[in-house]
Amino acid sequence: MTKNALFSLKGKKILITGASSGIGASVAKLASEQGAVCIINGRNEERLDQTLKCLTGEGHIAIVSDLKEGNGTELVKKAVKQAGPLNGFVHCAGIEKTLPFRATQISELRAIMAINLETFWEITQELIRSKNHEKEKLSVLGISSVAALYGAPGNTAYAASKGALISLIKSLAAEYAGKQLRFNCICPGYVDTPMLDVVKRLYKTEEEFISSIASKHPLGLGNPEDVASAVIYLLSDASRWVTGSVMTVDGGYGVR
Amino acid sequence: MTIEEKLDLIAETLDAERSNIKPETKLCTLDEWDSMGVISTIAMLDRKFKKVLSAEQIEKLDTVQDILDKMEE
Repeated sequence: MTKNALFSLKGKKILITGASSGIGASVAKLASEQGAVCIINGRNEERLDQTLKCLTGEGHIAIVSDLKEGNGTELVKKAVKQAGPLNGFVHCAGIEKTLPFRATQISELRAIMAINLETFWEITQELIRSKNHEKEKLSVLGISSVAALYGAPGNTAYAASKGALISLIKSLAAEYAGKQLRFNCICPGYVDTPMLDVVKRLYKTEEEFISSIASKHPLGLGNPEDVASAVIYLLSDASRWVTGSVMTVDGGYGVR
Repeated sequence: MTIEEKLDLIAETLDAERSNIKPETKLCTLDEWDSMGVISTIAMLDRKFKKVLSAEQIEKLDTVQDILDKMEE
């Protein structure tokens, strides 16, 4: 295998949730450039269609659905029906609620857990059925966060959901290693996405945001493409010996 | 909701001493009026009074009375 082929996704069929914007859209674009057939999912038909139009190559599929309970299973069934057994799944769909812990209602925690954790659970559970993936050729990725590793004031529910995602992925990696199914996690630092605009609301001024968040990334704030590059590695055969890992892609946030 | 009840709610939202919350109190004099306090107030106005404040409206909040003015049912 040549070096270039090592990172190729040629012929791999990858399901990507949250693909209508941010990290999910970037993952889809970069994966398609590497030869993957992308099955992209999002809530907003218009924005998902925009992502679809930006993909390289042919055969990509857009499935519009809100990831409520039960829809994750349906999503996998639809994806497999149209594309055949899958090779990868990247869960980029996620929500957050910027609120102090004391003001966060249990219903808001549950809503965040439903998308960030339970949907991943549901999709993965359907995906590991032998008819839904190619034997010994499945790589599953969760997009966690540095919030799970270091905490995030004002984002406790989000951090808790992302921490649970890490624990789940490590357990899945151990449970399915015998079947050569790989499960990994990426913990991005603060990335310039629509979600970051919500986090900025926590700070009264741009200067306060920069001193509290931006300056804590020695390499500066990241772009969605920075995270997508790491996703491509973990989807590709270059990472065939990697499972249960938690890869930080955070511009040095963790070396403070 | 009476004025007193609204002041109770503001104190509870900011987790501040009730005695420190008076209509004329300047928000900048309250330790609790930090970023978390601001976000809590925004959430309270949205949940209880269906008021979604713009960034400019938030910046213009100067006294407790300004918050009371937004708490119209």
